[in-house]
Amino acid sequence: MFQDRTKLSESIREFFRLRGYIEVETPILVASPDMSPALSPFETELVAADGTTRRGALITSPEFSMKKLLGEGLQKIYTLTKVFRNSDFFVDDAPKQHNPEFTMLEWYQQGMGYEAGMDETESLVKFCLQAFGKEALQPFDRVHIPTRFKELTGLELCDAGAEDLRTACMSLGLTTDPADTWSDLFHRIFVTHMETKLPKAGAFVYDFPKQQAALSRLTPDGKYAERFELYIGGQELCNAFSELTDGTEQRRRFEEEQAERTRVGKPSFPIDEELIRLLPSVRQPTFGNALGVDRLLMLLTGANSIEDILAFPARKLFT
Amino acid sequence: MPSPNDIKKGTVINMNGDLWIVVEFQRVSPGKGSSFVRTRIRNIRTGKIQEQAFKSAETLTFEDVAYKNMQYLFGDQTGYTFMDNVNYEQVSMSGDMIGDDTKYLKEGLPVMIMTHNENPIAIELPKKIHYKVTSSPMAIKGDTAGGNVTKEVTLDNGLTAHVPIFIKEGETIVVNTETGDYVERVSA
Repeated sequence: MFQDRTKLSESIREFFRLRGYIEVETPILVASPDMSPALSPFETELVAADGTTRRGALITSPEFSMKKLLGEGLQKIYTLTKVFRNSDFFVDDAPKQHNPEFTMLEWYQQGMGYEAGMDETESLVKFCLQAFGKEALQPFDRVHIPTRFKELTGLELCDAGAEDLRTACMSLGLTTDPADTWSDLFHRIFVTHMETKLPKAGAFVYDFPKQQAALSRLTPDGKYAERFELYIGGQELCNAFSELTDGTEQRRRFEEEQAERTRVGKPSFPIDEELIRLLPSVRQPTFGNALGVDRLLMLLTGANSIEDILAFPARKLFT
Repeated sequence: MPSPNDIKKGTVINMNGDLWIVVEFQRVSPGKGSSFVRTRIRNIRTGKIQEQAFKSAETLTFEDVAYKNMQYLFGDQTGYTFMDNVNYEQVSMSGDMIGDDTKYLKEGLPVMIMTHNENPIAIELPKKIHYKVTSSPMAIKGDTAGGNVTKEVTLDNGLTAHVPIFIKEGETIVVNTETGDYVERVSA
C-alpha cells in the first residue's frame, strides 16, 4: 500500500521538478476556508495564550493560500496537502470515492490558459500511469459541455432558465424536486446523462455554466466558465480553472456564497481580505488545477474503493 | 424519512406509484454543487433500466421487501423457476427481473429471492459461485493485454471467464458474481 503511494508522490514530484515548478507548503488551519455553499469545513477554535479565542477551520483545499503566493510573485507552484471535508462520510460498506480527509495535489502556473492546462494535466496523468507500468496510448477526449448539453436537450446552456432545465429533466425521464436550484437541475442531467457516458479511458469536460464558475474566469464571450474536469473510468479526478484575478468580482462571488450559506443554514466565514488584495497581482491567464491524489492512486492500482488505498480510513477511526 | 443517502443495492423506491429497484448506486458531488446519489434503477413491472440522480437533501419513499432462500431449478421460454427448499413452493421470474445475473444461474444454485407483497421482484446471487471448467483452449501465449496472462474458458453453465493459463478442463474455479472475475481454483 505505501509502496504504491510512495511511487505516486515521487512521480508527481518528478513531473513538476522536470517542468520547473517549486513545491510549496500551505496552512491547513485557516481563518477563512472556502465558502462554496456545497462544502462543510471542519470548524475549530484557536485559543491564544491570553485566553482569547478565534474561529478557525481546516482547509477544504489550499486554493486561497496558493493564490496568495502567486500574488506575491511565485510563477509555477504545486503542493501536496491533506484537505478536509465534513459530511463526506458514509458509514455503510459500499465502495467509496470519499473520505473526509484526503490528499490533494494543487498546481498553478502564471501565464498559462486552461487549454494548455488540459495538455499538462494529460501529461501528468500519463506520466503516473507509465510509472505504474500502464500505458495510455489514446489521447483523452475533450467534451465541450454546452455542445453536449445542446445535443441532449436542444437548449443553449447559457440562455436556459431554471424552468427550461426542469422541462429538460422531465423529457429525459429524470425526477426533480421543488427545492431544486438551477445548479441542482443542471447536475441531475450532468450526472446521469453526461458523466456516465464519457469514454472510460479519459475525457476532459470543459466550459461549465457561469453558475458554477467558482473561482474561474469567464470565456471571452462571457457565456461560460473557463473550467474543466477530467474523468477516467467514470471517476472525477480533478477540477481546474483559468483563474479569476479580478478582486472586485471575487468579492462579489464570495458575498453571494456567504448569503447562500446563510440561506441554507450553514455557518459562513469572513472573506479572506488578503486574497482579495493579492488577486489583482496575479497575471492573466493563470492556470490552476486541484487533483484528488487518492482517486488517482485508486485508478493506478485498480482499487474499487478509497478505503482499499488508505491505511486508516475514517470509518475505522470513527465507528 | 428515508433519504437518498440511505440507498443501497436492492433498495426499492416508490416513485409516483411505480416501484424501482436499485441495481447500482454511487455518491457524487459534482464540482462544487449539492451532492447526489447517482443510481441505475430497474422498474419492477416493466424491467426497464434507467439512470436517476437523487439529491441528498430530498426525501424518498422506500418499500419494505422480504427475502426468501430458494434454489434455482431451470429456465425456459416462460422464465426462470426457483424453488423454496422448505415448502417446495415454486416461483417463476422473467429474464427482465433478473437482468444480467441470469448468466450466473446454474441448476441447484442457492439464491435469495426478494419479494414485495409476496411477489418476487429480484434475486440476489451468492457473492462467490463454484463452476466446473468444461472447455479450455490450449493457451500457448495467453492474453497478455492486461499485464496478467489469462485465457478465456467456458464453464458448466455456459458462462465464460478469464482465468490464469494453468487452469485445466475439468477443474473447479470460483467466480466473483459482483465483478465476473475469476477468484481462485478449488483443489479437488
